[in-house]
Amino acid sequence: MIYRLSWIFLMVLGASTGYIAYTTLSMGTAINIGSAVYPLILSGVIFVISLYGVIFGDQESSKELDLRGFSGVVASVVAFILTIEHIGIVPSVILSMVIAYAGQSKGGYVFFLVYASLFAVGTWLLFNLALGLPLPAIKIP
Amino acid sequence: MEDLLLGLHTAIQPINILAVFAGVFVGTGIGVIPGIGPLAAIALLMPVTFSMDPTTGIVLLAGVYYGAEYGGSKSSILLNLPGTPAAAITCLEGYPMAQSGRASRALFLSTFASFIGGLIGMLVVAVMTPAIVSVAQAFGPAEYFALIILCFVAVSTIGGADPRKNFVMVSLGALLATVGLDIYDGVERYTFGTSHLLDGIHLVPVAMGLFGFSEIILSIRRNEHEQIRHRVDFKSMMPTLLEWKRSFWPMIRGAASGCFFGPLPGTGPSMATILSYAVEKKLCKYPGEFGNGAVEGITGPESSNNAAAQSAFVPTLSLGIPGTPTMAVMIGALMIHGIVPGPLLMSSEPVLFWGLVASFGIGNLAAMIINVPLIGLWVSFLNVSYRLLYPAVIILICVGCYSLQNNVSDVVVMLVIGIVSYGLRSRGFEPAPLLIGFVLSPMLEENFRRAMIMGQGDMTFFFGNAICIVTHVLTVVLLVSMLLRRPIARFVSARLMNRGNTKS
Repeated sequence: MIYRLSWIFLMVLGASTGYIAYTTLSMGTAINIGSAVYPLILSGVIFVISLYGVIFGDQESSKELDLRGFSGVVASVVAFILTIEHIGIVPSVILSMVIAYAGQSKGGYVFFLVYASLFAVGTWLLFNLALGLPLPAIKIP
Repeated sequence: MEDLLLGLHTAIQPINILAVFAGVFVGTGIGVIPGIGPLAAIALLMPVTFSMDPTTGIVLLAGVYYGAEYGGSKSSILLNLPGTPAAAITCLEGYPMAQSGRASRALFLSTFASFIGGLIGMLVVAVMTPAIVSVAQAFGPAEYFALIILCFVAVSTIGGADPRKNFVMVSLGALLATVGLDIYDGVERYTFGTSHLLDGIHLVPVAMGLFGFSEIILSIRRNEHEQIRHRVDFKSMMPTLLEWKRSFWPMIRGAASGCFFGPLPGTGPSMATILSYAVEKKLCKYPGEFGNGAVEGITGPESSNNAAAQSAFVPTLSLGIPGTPTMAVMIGALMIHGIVPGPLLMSSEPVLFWGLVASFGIGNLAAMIINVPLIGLWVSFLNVSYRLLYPAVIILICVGCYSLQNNVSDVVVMLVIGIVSYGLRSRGFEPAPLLIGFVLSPMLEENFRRAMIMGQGDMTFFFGNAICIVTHVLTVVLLVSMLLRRPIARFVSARLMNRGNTKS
């Protein structure tokens, strides 16, 4: 059963979304169908196919989880989310890039810090000056 | 013919040629950046055109539009990050081709196929606009519904994944698109009380999460051990004679599907590329190559994509109906110049209309001239150590998502979708069908509900005419062939094994 985790996940997802649609939204009438019908149909399709996958599916091949890489990338994005509006784009980008870089095993952090700094300035120039988006380079909290 | 000559005379004016080249150059550059698509590029450059002659201004914006389509395929092939939904199909074959050391060839093929598709699209627009408009007008809610269902089933056949997995992903994408306010009833669906989700989920975080985020995690370890050095020379770029032969008919067929579906509002380019891919996969003599860098899987959809991009102007200019948000901005630009698109545009503004059509030919040539020499530059990015490249790509993804609404909620959405996508991809689920389902879902629901109203709740309304019936029959045929493919293959191989055992 553990090999069919993805099908189980999708089956649960289909059942949950279908339940939410059925209990919180209106079915309407045949002529003027309500907002529940369409998501209910889709949820049903996902549930039925996933159930079939759970019962009759082949043993799933799965790639080994790269924990370090996964953690580095997720932490990088989380750092960006938490800092972009508080400290400005340049320091936020540098911090996020360094955290992402930690997701691989080769060294060279000093060189990478210089590279990240230049890239952060370039990003600010591109998005702020060239594309006109209001992102301050540095923001003092 | 006279009109086209008038248009050509207008298009070859030095100022208009300059506008085309500038538009294509800027559009390509912006299209390469993940998260920034043609709509953002056109919206940002529109104020620049206010002081220009209307023809020159529209020619510039049109150049940006299809330049961005060219650029979007670069990030699809090199980084597996589609710039547009239609470019998601290019990821399927282009990225594996790049990963196997043939990046420059993939880029050249996509550029050349786009050029051919764009040229054919231009000729079709010039010659067949009245006929195209009447066909587009024949498509009502029931027809659109049937067509999108066909696309959903066709999408299930893409790549090398199990069709059931693809179909679940399409349905999941369609369900994801229901998040937000239901515009018919004004009720919230799956927002969980969050104001950020009232407007629904934007396409960019979905695309970036599905492709960029998960691809980066999957690639880090792979590239730590092996990074293919990419050759960047003329020989590596040029397809072999066999590849040219294999590409010819897919380009023609792709252009045909692009010209047919492009004028259909909303989903023309996406539908055109999906169906082109599905057709090429069915017709290909080397079906085993699909999912691993089949040339037909690049040239057909790329040609289709560009042909659809050109022919999308037909309903925009001749009916005043914008088929996509990008075309809506184009209409806005026209109206700012005091030009009202509609059935009278061809007769009241022939210089603008035919000048624009003729500029498509020059623009496609400009895109070839600009893009082919730059292939070496794009491919050289792949020779940069991946450990330096991927943090930069993560930042571009994050900033691209953030810049949509200057809000971190889009980055959060990207993160959540990325994590789920990574989990599913590592278990053999393809991301492209989810994106396609997400894009097509609003139109599917809209046409479903409209058809139910028009048919007074009678389901036979969905089978009311020849277009619907033929489309539904094609859907059933595709579905049956998809479901029976594996059992038939098992049956045949079992028989062959038995025969082999008997002989021995």
